[in-house]
Amino acid sequence: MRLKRLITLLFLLTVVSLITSACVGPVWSTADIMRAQSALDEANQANATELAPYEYTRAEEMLRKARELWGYSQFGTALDYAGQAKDMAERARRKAQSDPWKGPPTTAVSF
Amino acid sequence: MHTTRTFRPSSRLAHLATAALIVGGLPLLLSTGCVSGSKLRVQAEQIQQQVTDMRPRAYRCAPRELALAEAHATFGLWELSQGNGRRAESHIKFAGDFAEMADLQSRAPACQDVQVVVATEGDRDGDTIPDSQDACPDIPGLPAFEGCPDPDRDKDGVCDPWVADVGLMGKFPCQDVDLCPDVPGELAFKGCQDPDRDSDGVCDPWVAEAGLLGKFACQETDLCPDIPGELRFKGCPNPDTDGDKVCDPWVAEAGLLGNFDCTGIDLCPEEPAPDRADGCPVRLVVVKEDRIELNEQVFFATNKTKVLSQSEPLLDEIAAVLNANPNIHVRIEGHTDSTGSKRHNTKLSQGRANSVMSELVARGIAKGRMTAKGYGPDRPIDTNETPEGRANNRRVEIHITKK
Repeated sequence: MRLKRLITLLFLLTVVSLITSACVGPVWSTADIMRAQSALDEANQANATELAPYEYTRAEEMLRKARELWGYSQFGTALDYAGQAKDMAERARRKAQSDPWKGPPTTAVSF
Repeated sequence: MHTTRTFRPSSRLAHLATAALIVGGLPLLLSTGCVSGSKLRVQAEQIQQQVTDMRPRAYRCAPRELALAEAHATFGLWELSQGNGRRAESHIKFAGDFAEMADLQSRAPACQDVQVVVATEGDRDGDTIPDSQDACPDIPGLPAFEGCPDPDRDKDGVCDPWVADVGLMGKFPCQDVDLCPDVPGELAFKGCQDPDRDSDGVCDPWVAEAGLLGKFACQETDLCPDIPGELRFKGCPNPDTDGDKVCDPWVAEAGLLGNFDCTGIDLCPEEPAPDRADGCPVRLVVVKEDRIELNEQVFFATNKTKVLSQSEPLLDEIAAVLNANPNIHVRIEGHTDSTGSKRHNTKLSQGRANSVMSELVARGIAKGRMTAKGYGPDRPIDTNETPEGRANNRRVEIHITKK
């Protein structure tokens, strides 16, 4: 009788751990993708597409790749790329606000 | 029931083909996959290296393309590590295309010397020197000049114009404003070379070429910058000393013919000869080895010994030659044609030689340097049969007897 209970308990524990391990990955990476998107939106509002094009483009590509990997269920890497995208989007916003890109030089500096 | 199994040739061939396909084709297929994977990896790493090399200029001039190339090279390598060849290939191709675009767009010279200032705050001119430490925050410069460009590029101690323009005179070890910032000069000449080397008040040619006429104490352009001259002669010496409109020889030697109000080359630059191409007056008298040659006849009244006044210029010139050559002693000879008696002609020729000698004595020539001899018709130089020949025979000759 006790053995039967123990076996039942082990079975339940196995089922729960299988369910959680399958669900937590997507949940975490989805949250990070949302945070990265939010940071990118803020950078966009600061006109970072024009004033910090390198940083904004990097952030955008990172986020796109994170979504793609999420679609392939590669949640771990999707989480990494989403985090990098968020950092880069925040950097883009800061640069756009404090040290904007001036555009490519068209002529040499002359006095 | 007994059945016998027979091998037909076609069935055997099919089996052999299948075996060959398995034995030979599968490794080939696998090796192709490996080769393309390693090839892609090399390709991705090359792109990453290319991106690293051009990063400073690409960040300035092609930031989007740079970002795309970097990101997709990274993605490609990651996909390769996961064994996703097709996805990796797609990313690496994308990365390669954008790396090429970034390279092309950032090749302009203005992109070349820019350093990456990704995380630099407050550097308006992008010269990597923070505005707080940059004496020229809006002009890209160098740390050696506190963030400004070189204030004295030609190192002559005179400041380049921009220093005054941005109000930084006194900040650097240079003075005044350099009118020639690329050519070392002197402070006295506003940073330029001497604008009037021969000090004749006419500017050397480079002044006009540099658009600096009016900036120095000289005028116009000197055609002879190394020889002191006059403004009216374009900075050169008088090109026509005798004023006969024939140029002095130096004009041709200096390659300046056509620049002055004269033509040709004056072989006698100090003797006016307006109508002569060589600039030399016609000589009535020429000193030769053994005589003084007369290019004009001495005219006498018919059958008389008196010299006519029209020969006075000739006598003046003979006297001038004898004065200029005081060691010369001469014999003045009189000659006639054969018309008339010999006695008369001899007497006439002697009288005419004496007259010439008297005229020369009257012009200051010592009598002791001259003798006079009448030869009459004895020494003709032409025929006496024609009027022209006889005219030639009637003559005065001056022979040098002592030098």
